[in-house]
Amino acid sequence: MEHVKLCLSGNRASSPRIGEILRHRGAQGSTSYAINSRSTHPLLLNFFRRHTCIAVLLYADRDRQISRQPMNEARLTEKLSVLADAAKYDVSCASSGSTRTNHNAGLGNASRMGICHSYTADGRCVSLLKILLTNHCIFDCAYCVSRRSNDVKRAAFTVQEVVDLTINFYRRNYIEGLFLSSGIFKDADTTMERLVRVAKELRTVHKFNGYIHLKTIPGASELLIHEAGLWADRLSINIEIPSDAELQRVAPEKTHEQAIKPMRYLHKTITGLKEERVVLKRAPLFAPAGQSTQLIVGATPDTDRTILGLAHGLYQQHGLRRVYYSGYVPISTDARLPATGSTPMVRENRLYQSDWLLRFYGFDVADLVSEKQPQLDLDLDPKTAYALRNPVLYPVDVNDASREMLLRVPGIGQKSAHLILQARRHGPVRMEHLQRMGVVLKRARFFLSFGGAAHALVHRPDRLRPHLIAPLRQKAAQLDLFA
Amino acid sequence: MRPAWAAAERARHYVYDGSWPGLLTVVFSVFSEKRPALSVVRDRNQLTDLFAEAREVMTDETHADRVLAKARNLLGQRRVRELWSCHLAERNEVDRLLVDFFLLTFTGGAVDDVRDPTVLGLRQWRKHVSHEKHQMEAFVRFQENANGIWTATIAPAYDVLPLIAPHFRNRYADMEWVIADQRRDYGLHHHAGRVSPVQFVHEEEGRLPALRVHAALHERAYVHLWKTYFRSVDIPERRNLGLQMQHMPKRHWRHMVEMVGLR
Repeated sequence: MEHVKLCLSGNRASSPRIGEILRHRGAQGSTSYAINSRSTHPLLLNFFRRHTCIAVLLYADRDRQISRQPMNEARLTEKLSVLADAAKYDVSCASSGSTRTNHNAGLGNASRMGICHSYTADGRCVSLLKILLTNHCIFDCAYCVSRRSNDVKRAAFTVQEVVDLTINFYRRNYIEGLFLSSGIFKDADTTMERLVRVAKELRTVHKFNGYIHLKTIPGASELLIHEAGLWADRLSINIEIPSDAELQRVAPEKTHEQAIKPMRYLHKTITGLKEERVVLKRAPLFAPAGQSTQLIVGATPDTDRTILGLAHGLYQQHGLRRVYYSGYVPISTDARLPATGSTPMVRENRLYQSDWLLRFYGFDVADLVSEKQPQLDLDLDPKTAYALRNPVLYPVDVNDASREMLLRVPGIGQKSAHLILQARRHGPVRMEHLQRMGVVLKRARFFLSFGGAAHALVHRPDRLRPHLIAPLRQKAAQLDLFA
Repeated sequence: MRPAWAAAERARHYVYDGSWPGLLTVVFSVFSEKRPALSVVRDRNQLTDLFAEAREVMTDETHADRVLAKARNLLGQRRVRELWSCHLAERNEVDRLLVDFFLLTFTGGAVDDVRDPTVLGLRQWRKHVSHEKHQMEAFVRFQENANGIWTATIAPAYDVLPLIAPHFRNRYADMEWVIADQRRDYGLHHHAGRVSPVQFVHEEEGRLPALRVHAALHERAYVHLWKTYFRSVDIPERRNLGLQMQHMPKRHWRHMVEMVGLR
């Protein structure tokens, strides 16, 4: 039996810090031990019951005093602030979808659902250490803060520095892993090779099984892209500008094809190797969390219809896991871009809501936007807007409707639809049940019926509309009037 | 179908020790004595009505095991585990729901009828507890001590240490670490693949020498780097403190290095 005993010094009132834990090994490995008379925790009682003796120990000096001071901390701090700042406009933050386990008794694993470790003051999640390897760039894309012609401070990490930061942040449970991108500093292959080297070193030298997201550099050779897939969990190539014509105007060195080509290659390889793994357990993991991309919204006149059409195509044809929409923040005064303010965050939000409807709710792009109405309604969420455009489909009878129809009711999500179906098997579902199941009655009540009459306004979209616009939005609109 | 003896007028209060086997023993007495629960509390003083009839239940492992075996049989291992995780909420309200749920199960009731307040209530509590668990997996912050042990302090709303143990064991398999629950005065200690619960013995009671070991020398540097990173990724044009607070409740901040000393 191992004899270990923990001791915390200080009393409860002075807020015991576990940092004061001490370690001690008595003579011949024996230990003194004492159990708090108040040790009443059920888990412990159970433990004591099963073990004859619990050792307590944590005394001071172990033989070795460790010190792993980072090299040149001041310089590293400066680099980190420059290269994190430059990377923050890439909104992808997911650390989910990977199946990597801690198979080699090394460090870390991937969480299937992903974990957000912190939230910044703008309410965005911090999940990965998201940095650029360097912000030196030979390209001159108008929307990008690191473009050649922009006068910003430049910096570059060494491979060792990125590895060191990742490991040390990870061990402290600050992050889920690394998201490494880079400016293109010499040519595509040199840049890509450096990114791959970081991932490889983490995986092989440090036995790191945490999440790694690598940016694929457009124009890099397939050999390098393939190797990136072997080390990374997710790969991404940003399309950035939703239409090819606009892209060529603001980023003369880039075309859509440059981004689509590696996407196609990766899709083929990912699906191929996945099938192989079914038969052959030893086949290597290849980008288990798939690939993603980002579209910038509001930097060019592209409509929501163009954006959603493109996104839908990417999901269908290239098997993307996620398309991110990044509201344009005017970071530059480049003449090629409109001199407007920031893209309203509502638009970005409406696009994400539509994206969800496309992927999980069986909606089609044509249900949400049309040639006549190419923009999403900013005042209403896309499902409510759809309901108001198609009043004939409602009311939906809670006790009779199919799952597909329940999912088309504003205020009913996947989970509440599932609960309704489950409850229906036992008897009729009433309004008060719905509230407790998490249905947003504020919206749903207009579109539902319970075997009997429906809401009086269900077929009067013009009169229903004011009831559905969230009060906050109304307030904001009023403020705008006075601005 | 609820049996005749489960009528409200036969109900009484139950007092038990707060442990999971203890709660299962309560369920056993509910059945063996045919008296449903009006409330289930961990301390007699929590009873509002001092003169009400209250049964003090002594935890009995054999009785608990019989209840558990029967429940596993009817519900399956996964759902029994879910009930156990609800119990970690340490709320009288939940204990009462649990006893009612066992009653429902053993009398052949519809255990998946979410219209039933007991079923739905437990479902919601399960969500609360698993949410707290998920947050703790995210917000634990380790610091390395000079002797190479990684330590963290948390103060979760529910007793989630047993739930987060597998996550941290798998993730930090190559580290020796301790996570302390400041509120409940116990912690988990991981060493070489084994996690064991540990009790904190306070200086004045434990008669152990009060030696202080400080964080490793390099700890400051990495905390500083992390804070630098955290500040750099913020987009000030989009400040939204409400959203930040919603995802990361303030009660966790004092254990998170990046939030300490901010504002």
